[in-house]
Amino acid sequence: MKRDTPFTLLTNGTALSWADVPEWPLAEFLRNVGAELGRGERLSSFFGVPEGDALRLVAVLAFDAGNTLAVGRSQSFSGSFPALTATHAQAHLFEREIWEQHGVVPENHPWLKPVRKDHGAGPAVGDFFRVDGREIHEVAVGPVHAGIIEPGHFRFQCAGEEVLHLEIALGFQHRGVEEAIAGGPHRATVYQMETVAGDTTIGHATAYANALEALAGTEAPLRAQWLRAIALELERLANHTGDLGALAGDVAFLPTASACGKIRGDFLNLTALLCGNRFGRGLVRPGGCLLDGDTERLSQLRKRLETALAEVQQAAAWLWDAASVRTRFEHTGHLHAKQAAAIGLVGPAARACGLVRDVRFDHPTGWHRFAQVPVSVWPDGDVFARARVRWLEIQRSGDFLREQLDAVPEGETMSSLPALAPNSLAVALVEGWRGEVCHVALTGADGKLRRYKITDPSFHNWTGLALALRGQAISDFPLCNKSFNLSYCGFDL
Amino acid sequence: MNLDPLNFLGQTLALLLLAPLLSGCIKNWKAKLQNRRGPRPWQVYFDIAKFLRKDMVISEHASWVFSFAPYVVFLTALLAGLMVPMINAPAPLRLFGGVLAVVGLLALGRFFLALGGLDPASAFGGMGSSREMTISAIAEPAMMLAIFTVAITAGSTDLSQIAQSTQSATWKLLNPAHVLAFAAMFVVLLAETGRIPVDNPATHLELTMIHEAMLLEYSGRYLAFMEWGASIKQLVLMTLLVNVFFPVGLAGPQASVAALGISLAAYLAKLLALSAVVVVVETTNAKMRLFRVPDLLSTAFVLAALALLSTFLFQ
Amino acid sequence: MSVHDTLLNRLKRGCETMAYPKGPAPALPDRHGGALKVEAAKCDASCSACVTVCPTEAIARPAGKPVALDLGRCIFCAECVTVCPTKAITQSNDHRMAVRQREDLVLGDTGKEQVRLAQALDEKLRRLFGRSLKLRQVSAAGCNACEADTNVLGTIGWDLGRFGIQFVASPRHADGLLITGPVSKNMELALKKTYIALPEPRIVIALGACAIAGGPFIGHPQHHNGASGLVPVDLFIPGCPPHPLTILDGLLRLLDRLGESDARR
Repeated sequence: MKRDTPFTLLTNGTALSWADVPEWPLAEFLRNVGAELGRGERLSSFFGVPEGDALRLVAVLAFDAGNTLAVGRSQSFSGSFPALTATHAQAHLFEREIWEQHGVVPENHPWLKPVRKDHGAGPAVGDFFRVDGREIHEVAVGPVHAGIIEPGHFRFQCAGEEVLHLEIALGFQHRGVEEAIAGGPHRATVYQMETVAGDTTIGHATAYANALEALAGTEAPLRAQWLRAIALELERLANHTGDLGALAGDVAFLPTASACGKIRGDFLNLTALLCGNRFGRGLVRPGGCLLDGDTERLSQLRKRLETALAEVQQAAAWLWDAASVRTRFEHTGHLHAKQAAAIGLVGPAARACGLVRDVRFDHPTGWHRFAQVPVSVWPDGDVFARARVRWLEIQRSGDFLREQLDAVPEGETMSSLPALAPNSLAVALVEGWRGEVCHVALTGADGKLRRYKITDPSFHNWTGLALALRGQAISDFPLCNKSFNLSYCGFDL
Repeated sequence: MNLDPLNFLGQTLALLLLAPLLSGCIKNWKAKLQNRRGPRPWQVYFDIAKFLRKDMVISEHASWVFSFAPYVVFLTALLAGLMVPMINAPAPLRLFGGVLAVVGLLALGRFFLALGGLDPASAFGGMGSSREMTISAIAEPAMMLAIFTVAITAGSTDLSQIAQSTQSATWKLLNPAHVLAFAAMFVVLLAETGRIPVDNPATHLELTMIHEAMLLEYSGRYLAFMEWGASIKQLVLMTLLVNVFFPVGLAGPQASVAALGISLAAYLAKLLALSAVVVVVETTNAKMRLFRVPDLLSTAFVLAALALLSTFLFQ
Repeated sequence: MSVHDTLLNRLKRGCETMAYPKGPAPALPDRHGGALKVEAAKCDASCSACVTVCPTEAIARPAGKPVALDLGRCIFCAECVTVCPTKAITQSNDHRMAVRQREDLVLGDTGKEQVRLAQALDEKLRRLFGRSLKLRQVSAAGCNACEADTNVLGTIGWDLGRFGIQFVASPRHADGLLITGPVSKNMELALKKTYIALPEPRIVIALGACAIAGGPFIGHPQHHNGASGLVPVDLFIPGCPPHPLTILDGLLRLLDRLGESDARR
């Protein structure tokens, strides 16, 4: 679908020369981005590239309907810029991040607060949106909260048991991943990419590998691409199973909670069968896959996969049959499709609102160019919908794996990576199990990474959780949180 | 035969020792039903023993109420337990008002439990206390109506007399009033002991907690007494349910050792059967949404009211 | 789900909890590798291939001294194993890696080729915690893999509850902290406050490469390179992430609950 746009189009997983990225004066750049967002396109990434004392803004847009990405940049400027958030909510966190990382002020940004860094006392201290009134009370949860989970701060404004407003403050896990990549890739970079979000190792590692391969002007061998796709779906299976179990656990429905906990371990062990590590560490590398599976190993994988899929089928059947579970899930944590589109929601959470967006479908790369997974969508936007989408994805990933394991491509799995092209920009999108993982790599004149931007799907989706809690009972918060199941460290980097 | 001091001592020991074991059994069976080994039934003993030996960390906002509450919760549960016939009737302790005193003691315990949750000024504790009070506002009248039903049939508010009177005329067990009252009490039992579908005793999610939320600030010795008191209250309510509504096998006064033995066996059997039912209910249901819990308890209240009406209708 | 289904399922599947530690430990995934074994005596005089290839600078070979591999910094990428020409560094496939002292993770020197496994807690603490240990988990910038594998210990296959070990919501109910992550500066205050909220006596367990020495992010200014600098640590469990079996072995070793079949070395 050819459409008139001033942006340069780019396919997922490819690179272009920095000079070829269209450049406009700041105001025109922002107008162009706004125009595209106004047409319904999505902002995949929006960040700053420092040039001496000044800053350049870069926008990567996803034209889902056109199956293409679009890039553009502004000229250098300093001081401040008119905030896009004023007219397009999707940009809000990106602009706060730009302010925090580079110091330029987005003017008229409705809620300019740091994203990850604190100002001395920690992200939980500071201004929070407050509601005043005689029967209003404020509940603060975190950073150390419920059970074994990453840290985050949740500030509720409640009238009795009803939540009027929820504000989420993250940043507790800021480890300085982006800062460390500059001048790289270094010896530790690939290991850091694997642990950006530790449960999305394959997702982030594949995006990193794709970005570097694009910059080197090469592609991983087909067998490696196939292996990556297998590992990605195994990761999806493990996490979605865990989520169904956790959702059951949060409503204290013990049969499914116990069963899914075990089956998740089984799926993790399938990934470990491939590479030794339950989370897929040490498998995906720029240039291919470090480890391979022979016929024996792959057939064992296939057999164990069948058993695990049958078990999760039964565990999920108990979940859907229980009326007490359905009353908890239905109409809880409701998010409208319009809200979801406005904030740029991605992943199963977006698909559960009826939005058809999936990187494997809209921007296929790697093995997904040859083998399709149907997109799993459910219209309602409540906890039930999000659970249902996960269930559909489990089934479809299972089918995909069965199909792929029955048709193994030949070839090597690793090739050496040529040097990275200098002054080039590459974008790699991967549909991680939470949603769209976006890595944007920019090399300098020396062929080293000058700027590396990581956008985890949680960066888009935390706002969705905050919106979904409005008007809900505060005791439903853990259930809603679990139904989104977002990454704290993927957001914090 | 002057059984009273022996009776008193025996029942106190039974309450103290049996209560943690019962909690442990329920946990163990729930685990077994989920296909896992689970903690041993006597694990709760180890937990309480450890808490008694640990230090305490107390919020700077807490007052004397915080320190007083665990002992009140513990003692009221114990005293209420002494008024309910366990192995033989009459029960060791007789206070004016009989069943009303039992309800009153439990209410006093709950009152201080809720205050203890509010005292350290923590948000979770406050929410837990408010939720506990919302539930008890309906659960307590339901419990009272259910017990009044059997009291009217027996013509007395003394629990021991109620038990003996029901025992003497076994057809009363199938009396519609009796059955309705039993059903109401069962729902109240689930609510008062914080079991699924009302509350999840094993949850780590503070925002969903009711009973556990009020205990979040307690540590060491205080926590030990709070937990112990809660398990004794659970035992008391279950004993009430099995021995007042189904006093089959309950030994009378001046009972022989053999009769006491039979009574003990019957009591334990009934207790275990009730625990099994509780475990199955917990395992097959999800927890209800908080604002739906009053609906469930209102149902219990209506059942109890119907039970009371039935006593007049079927007299 | 009906009562009938529940009971039927239970009877059909039986108890799914593993026999360990009363039976043999489940096998590690065959490509896992387990703990490393470093025999410095086998090194070539001038070789330092492993030093250059290690992403977390866990290996050092000071002049005139034997090679030293710090398993606490190790993220188990096995690059050193691949690159070593004399097979001085090998994978032992042993899941046991937990130690009490940080130095017990430094491998290489004669007599120190392998991890010196953890001794149990002292008599007093063992009497107190041996049958009932409640832990509060604090994720101080962990990536969620260590947390996920800790969560897995609560599932029906592993069933941590059968040992009396439980994860609790309130630090006031806890006997120990289980820390994951390199302890970011943003989490420093929360970690300290949680530690203070634990009643005495208390223990601290550092789980994973990040909590011991910073993991893949070692040296970044945004965090403290692990928990040791902030709280006294009683047990170190290496791994990235440690396999649930390693974590369980570490916890049971600490409480002396392992039984004869797997006695301490």
